[in-house]
Amino acid sequence: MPKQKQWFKLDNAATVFPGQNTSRWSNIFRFSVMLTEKIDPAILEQALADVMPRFPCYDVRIRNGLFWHYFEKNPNGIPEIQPDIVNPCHRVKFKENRGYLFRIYYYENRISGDFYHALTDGLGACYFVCTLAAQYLRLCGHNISVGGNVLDITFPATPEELDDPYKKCGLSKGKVSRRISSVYHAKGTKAPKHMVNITRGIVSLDDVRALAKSYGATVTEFIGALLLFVHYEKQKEEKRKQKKVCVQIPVSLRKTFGIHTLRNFSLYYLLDIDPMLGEYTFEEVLRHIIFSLRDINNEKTLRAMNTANLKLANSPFMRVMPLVVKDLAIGIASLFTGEKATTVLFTNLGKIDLPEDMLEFVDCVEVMAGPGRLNAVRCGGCGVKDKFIIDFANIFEESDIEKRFFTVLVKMGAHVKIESNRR
Amino acid sequence: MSYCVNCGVELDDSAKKCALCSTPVVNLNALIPPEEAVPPFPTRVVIPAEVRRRYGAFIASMVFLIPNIVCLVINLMFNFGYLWATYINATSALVWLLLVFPFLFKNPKSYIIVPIDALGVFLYTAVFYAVEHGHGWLFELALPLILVVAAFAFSVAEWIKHKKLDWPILITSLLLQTAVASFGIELIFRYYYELSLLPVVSIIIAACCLALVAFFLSVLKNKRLRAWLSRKFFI
Repeated sequence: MPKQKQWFKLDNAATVFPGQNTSRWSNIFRFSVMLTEKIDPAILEQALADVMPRFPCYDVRIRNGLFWHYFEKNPNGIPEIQPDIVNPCHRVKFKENRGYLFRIYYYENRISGDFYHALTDGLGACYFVCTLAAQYLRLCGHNISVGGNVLDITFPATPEELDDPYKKCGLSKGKVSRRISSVYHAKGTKAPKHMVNITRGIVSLDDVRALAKSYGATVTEFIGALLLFVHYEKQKEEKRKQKKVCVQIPVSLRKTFGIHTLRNFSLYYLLDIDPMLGEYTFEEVLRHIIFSLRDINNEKTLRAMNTANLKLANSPFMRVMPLVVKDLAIGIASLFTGEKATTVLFTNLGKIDLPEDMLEFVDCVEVMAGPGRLNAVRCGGCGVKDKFIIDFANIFEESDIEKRFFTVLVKMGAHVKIESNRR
Repeated sequence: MSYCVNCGVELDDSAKKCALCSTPVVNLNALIPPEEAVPPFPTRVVIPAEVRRRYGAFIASMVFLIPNIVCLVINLMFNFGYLWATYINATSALVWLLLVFPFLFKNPKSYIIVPIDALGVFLYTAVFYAVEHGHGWLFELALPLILVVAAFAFSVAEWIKHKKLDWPILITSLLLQTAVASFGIELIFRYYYELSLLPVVSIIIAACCLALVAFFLSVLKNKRLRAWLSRKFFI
């Protein structure tokens, strides 16, 4: 295997995350694979050691330069495998966990990875955890081939997987201005510091697809619209000044630009409805989402959005600004933008592509968007075989949003199984 | 397998109540009792370590201390007839007391911090009083002023501590305290300079505060105005 690269620049999206990091909150998410057999931590540790050289961009710790943060190869072995905890996605501190920016947990038949967003996005984490699970199964004596989201660990990472993908998309002459408006945020009783309430809804992938199809929508459009509608209804019942309700939908750029990367490569759309314009039914909200998303979700818009981000990061003023000032400015700016402009987030990884011979050992997969600071709930969805899991991470004790969401699904005829860390 | 009779969702075998609506699960035919079933989430909690503020405060104290000692030593070695390092040492000590000292406490309390800060400010003025050979202003003007400002700071800190306080009520209370403090400060000045004790400036301040108090009390009753203010001035 060729010598591993010793340091990496943070990709264009990742540059903002260290500045947003606080002692209470980090931008972090979880990807899990549930197998059909109980996890043996010793074998999992060996599997992790086998897999790490294939992912040099995760085998890093974050360091401070004079102007930018950077990743350097982590000399501290591999991250510790830990028994799972009830409060995942708690904040990252750069010197903890042997300097690694991801944590691997196991519980019963589940392997989970909590990833700091500066390292990668949901699909990158999916590649890592699926490859880890495949290697674990191999060490358990099963023959697992490679393909889909399971990478071949006998080959080194390609330069394409490790480079900053945002710089390869090309620049657009036009710019997409991103308006920031104050939107509705659900209120409630805050959970204790570093705690999060998780509600996992397991539904049949065929059922959800059929439901979405009956409205002429995709699963992302359908669930995004349902989340928007649930918040719209909740705000209406509060009898307050009606603000816009906005759903943030991240979109992976890998397929659009044909770049296979293990690092961050996604942008997001903000889709909103304004209750001041009148009353909405679910069908109207869904139609609005379908038209808006299909209108803006194209290569040209994505390239223009990326160009705006690149130009900001590459402006001479930003480049010469010392890191301390930059982090401070990002921290303050994120208070006034970021979650201020979104009511809820929904990230959908879709159906995870696993090799045929691995599927019989995999029960399901899940992605959990980490808790927000202002967003009451953040929602993640992904599936394998016929199981689709919709995960809610809620910073409030109340579960009314989850209840509204899943009871609507039940009323539409879907079978929903609920699991939660609420006791 | 159990279902919630209220929401209609299936629940995991270990659930004793519905995670969505808290309806208790009663299933006499359950194959596995909830106590024996494996819960979907573990019970282990990991609370990340707190940021060590006291450590940071200690470092900052050292940063303050070193140049002060250097100044003092240089002053003692090259004495030009007066202790010029007194100004630097006293000012540094006051800045340290106001900005760094509270962080040495795990849970700083206003009834400890404010009196100590007031004492520090008094000692700071006393140093200048002694160096400049003042004529009676320390006890007749500075001390009463420091006490009034300290009382005001203590009162504000106690009100702000109540996080659940409705913001119009909080602003109203702060405005009323400002009005009272302005009366106290003006009376002290008037007494020191032997002027008539009838307040003038503080009446103008109090009138402005009362007008604002009336406005914020009306905000409490008017939900639409309150929503508009929240929308326009959100931070």
